[in-house]
Amino acid sequence: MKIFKHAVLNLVRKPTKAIMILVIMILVFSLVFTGIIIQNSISSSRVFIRTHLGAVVQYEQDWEKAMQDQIGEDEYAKMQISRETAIDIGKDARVRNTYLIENSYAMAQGLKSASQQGGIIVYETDISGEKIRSDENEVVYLNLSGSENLIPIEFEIGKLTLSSGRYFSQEELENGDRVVIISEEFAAINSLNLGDSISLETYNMAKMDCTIVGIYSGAAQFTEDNFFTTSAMIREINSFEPYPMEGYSAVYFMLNDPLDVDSFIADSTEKLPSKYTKLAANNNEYKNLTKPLDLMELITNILIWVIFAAGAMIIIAVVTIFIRDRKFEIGLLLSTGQNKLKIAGQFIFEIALITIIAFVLSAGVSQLTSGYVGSWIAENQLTEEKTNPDSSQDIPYYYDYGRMTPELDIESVADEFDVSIDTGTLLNLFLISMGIMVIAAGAPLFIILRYKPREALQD
Amino acid sequence: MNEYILEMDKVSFGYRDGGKKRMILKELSYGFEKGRFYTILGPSGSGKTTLLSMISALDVPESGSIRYQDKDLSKIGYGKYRRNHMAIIFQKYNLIDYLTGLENVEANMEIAKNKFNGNKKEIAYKILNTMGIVKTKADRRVTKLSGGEQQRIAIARALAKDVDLILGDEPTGALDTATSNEVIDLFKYLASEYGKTIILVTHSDEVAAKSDISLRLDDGQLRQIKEKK
Repeated sequence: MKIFKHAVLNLVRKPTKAIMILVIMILVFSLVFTGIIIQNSISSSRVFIRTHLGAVVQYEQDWEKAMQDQIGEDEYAKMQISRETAIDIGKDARVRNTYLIENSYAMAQGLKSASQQGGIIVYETDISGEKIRSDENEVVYLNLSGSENLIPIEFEIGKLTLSSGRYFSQEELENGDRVVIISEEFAAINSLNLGDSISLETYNMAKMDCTIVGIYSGAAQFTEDNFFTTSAMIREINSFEPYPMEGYSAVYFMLNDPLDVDSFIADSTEKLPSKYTKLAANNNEYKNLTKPLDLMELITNILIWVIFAAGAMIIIAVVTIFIRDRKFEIGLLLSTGQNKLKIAGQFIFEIALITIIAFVLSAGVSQLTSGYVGSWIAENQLTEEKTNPDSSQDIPYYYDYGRMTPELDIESVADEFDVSIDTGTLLNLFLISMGIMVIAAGAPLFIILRYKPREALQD
Repeated sequence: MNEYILEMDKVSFGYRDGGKKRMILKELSYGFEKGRFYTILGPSGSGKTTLLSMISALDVPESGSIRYQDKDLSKIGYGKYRRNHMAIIFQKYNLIDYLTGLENVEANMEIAKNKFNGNKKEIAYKILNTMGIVKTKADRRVTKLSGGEQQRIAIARALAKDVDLILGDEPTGALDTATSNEVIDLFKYLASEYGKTIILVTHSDEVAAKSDISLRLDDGQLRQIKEKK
């Protein structure tokens, strides 16, 4: 018996019930698909945010909690991460580079500050009242940041750009050569060029001449007087300090893949020296940016399951009626001796055909509707969150000195709210649809095919 | 080995009626011979259709056994028996309504898996034509045909299966007298010339008169009321 031919003939020649099932399936599938597509887009947006926020994990100390707990000096000492511990954490295969940042300060006479905040300091006396300057000379108060890396992390992640010159060489790092990279603004206001020498003054007014090897652009407001140099030079400056800063001012781990951030933090936390320390990766910002997505995901999730459950029940009911209505035909086929598997095959093939048509149409419809819904969500929901003052607690970029990520706002996330569906998701949805279909058609068939032909013929 | 193609041995079957069991067939035993044309008469409710259901394996006796060519139907397999050894013509045609007359006949030929000499479609058209269904009508959906035409297709469908046992439940009930006579003559011919065993349930004394053996089902037992030698 040509079961496939008969299946098609039944659908073509008696289309009413098939169309009814088709319409119901399209409605249910479209709603579920739209929900899943939006959910998929939410996941993509999370990846986008995490990727965009970067792959930098920062070592942080929770001073507030430490003070609250009134910890002892030993515990305070532990909060400084050692070089060995930092290097050990940085050995993880997910880590591309480890940055041990050391900071210091120096003054430069006869130079102007490029920062609007000032940098002009008039020294007359020191804290103890001892006069350290006899006249009111103008000096620039410089912030120096050093690491053992060839390229400072700020440049590696694109926060700053080297506009001319070069980064440090391996020899300069090892030898502790006095080399600096300065901002365009500082260079411009002081007419400095590559290769020029700047004379820095340390705490005890020791002179240190250093050479400009690079000029960078992209300095944030109030940070134009920041210099980048080598760790060795920072240590040299600090050696003149009566109370030099101990440990590193910042420790960063740059990962190869931003999506490894959470797993890396989870795996590496046990290596931290104190419970008052942690590894963080712009978690607050990530949470702020993903907050509207969380709500959307929750609502979509609920909707998907409600529609899925209700839809599956409706489809099962309708298909059951569809099969049950043909009990007599099944009885007739049984009376002629038709193989039960072939009878089931024909009916399942019919429902499968309807399912496939419904699936293809639903996929198209949901692509269209989810595009509209996605745009609406992106335009209204996501961006609306930004206008709500409670929803955004972002620290302004220029105050967030430790931040090692490019700026990301909710509009950028909205722009990336791509409502598309990938092949894998489509395949999963198709398998789910076919699963529902097999259950819907299989259950009544299983019951009817157990009847004796005479019982099945009693309509 | 005996000469019966189909043999019923102490077959019993009953229905529950208001909590009370009513036996329709009571240890009924009878043998149907090969190449004979049987008619079964009996009053309404006597169990003629039930008896036909038993021998066509549409249902299973509560007790007793039915043997086809000396083999118990349960051993042959009820589905296989229905598929390869018998054909049944129902009182209400029972055609598949989304198929044409030709497709209904072809479907039955395919299920039977018997070997046919020649093109199945041509054979189907020929049988349908024998039953008075011309090609243009054979190609129409059965729902577009009259009751008489549908019954003729139902008979053609049974004949097309080319099996040794043809069973009918009032197969000529929807036919006019002339066509009915033609069909009965065809059954007689099939029995005498091709050795087919025909068992028809009928109310018609005229049909019974043309059969080789007439039986009456009464009180759960078959009684032979006529036999042509």
